[in-house]
Amino acid sequence: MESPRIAAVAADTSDPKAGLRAVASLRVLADTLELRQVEAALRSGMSWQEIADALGVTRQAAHKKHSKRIDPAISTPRRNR
Amino acid sequence: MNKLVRAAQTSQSLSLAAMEEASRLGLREADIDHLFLALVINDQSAGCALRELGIDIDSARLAVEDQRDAQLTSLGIEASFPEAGRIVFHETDGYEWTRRARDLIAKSSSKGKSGDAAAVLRELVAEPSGLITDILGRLGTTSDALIERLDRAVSPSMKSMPLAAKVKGRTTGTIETFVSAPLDEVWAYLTDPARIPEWEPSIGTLDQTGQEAMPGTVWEGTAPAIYPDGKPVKIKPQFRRRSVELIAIHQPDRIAWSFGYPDVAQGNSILTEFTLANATGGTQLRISRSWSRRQGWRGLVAWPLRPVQKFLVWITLFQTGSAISRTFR
Repeated sequence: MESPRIAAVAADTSDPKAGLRAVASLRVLADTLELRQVEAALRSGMSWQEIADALGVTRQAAHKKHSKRIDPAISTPRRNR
Repeated sequence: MNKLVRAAQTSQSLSLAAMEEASRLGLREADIDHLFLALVINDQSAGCALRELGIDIDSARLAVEDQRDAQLTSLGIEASFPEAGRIVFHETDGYEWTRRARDLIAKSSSKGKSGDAAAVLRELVAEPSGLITDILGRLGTTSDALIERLDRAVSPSMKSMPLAAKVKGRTTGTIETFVSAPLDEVWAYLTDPARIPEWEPSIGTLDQTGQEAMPGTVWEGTAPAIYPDGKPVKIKPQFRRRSVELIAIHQPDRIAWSFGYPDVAQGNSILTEFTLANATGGTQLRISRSWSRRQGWRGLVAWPLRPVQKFLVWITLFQTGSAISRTFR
């Protein structure tokens, strides 16, 4: 396929339109991985505060973004635990 | 059907299918590529046009994945998206559209546009990022070819097939859906009593599933005790026991089941009928649900609520239709 050619122009900026769209896909990948890691963190018993610290955001931001999205089977820690 | 209702139903069914597709990728935000996948399995002319071009759900999913992976490679990143799993939408929460996908659907029902799935598809192929154009390219077609096909496509409606006769005193609702599997597979699924809890949300378990499926055979079961997301269902004791009767079975394309409450004295059983028809790339399925209206003063009281009832019937039909569609994806 075209991958050898594309790899050769890795991270090149000669086609910004394609590059920008690719960055959008990268964000989707980052979102997918973020949710997976947050779920894994909660399963391992990490608190929202610890997750937020690791992500570099506030606890409120981490909770707002993920509390509804996570697997409902995970019992999430309460604030004061 | 008026435009408002059609636009609402179209957006509801596309949202569900797109978010289901997003859910199997571990995402909670559905974007335009998931909307594209939802259109591939849509029951209206838009889905028909896509499938006539030889696009099915598997090839479309592959094209979307390849496109995303190729974009990562183009950034010089050696990574790929996590392997897709099964659809977990009904067991999870927190789903939404991306901004551009939501705007696109809203635009398709704006002034002068029809608001059906074809209008959504027209907006989608014209979306400015070029993502959909690239995906179509991977599927060996172009926006122009698709639009041209769409202009000629007629909705694979089953209008020619006889509708269950309207019976006075019964509330009836009908919905059509597309299932991406051959007719005989869908038939085997819908005629198997053991599979009923998968598509009938009010049935949790069913006993004696080994009984031969003959008209008049009755199965006993129970209402579900938990919702798909694991929360317990609160239910009055008399509604706990369920009975299921096979009313009619006409190989290869018509079957009717009836669902009742044996412990409720004036119990009203609900009749669910399926009609199957071959369609390009799968099966077009019509589902009808009906029950008898209350007689006497109760009927009079219920009369002003008929539009609400109609909507509720549509909701349950929609649930059944989407559960069947999900099984074959």
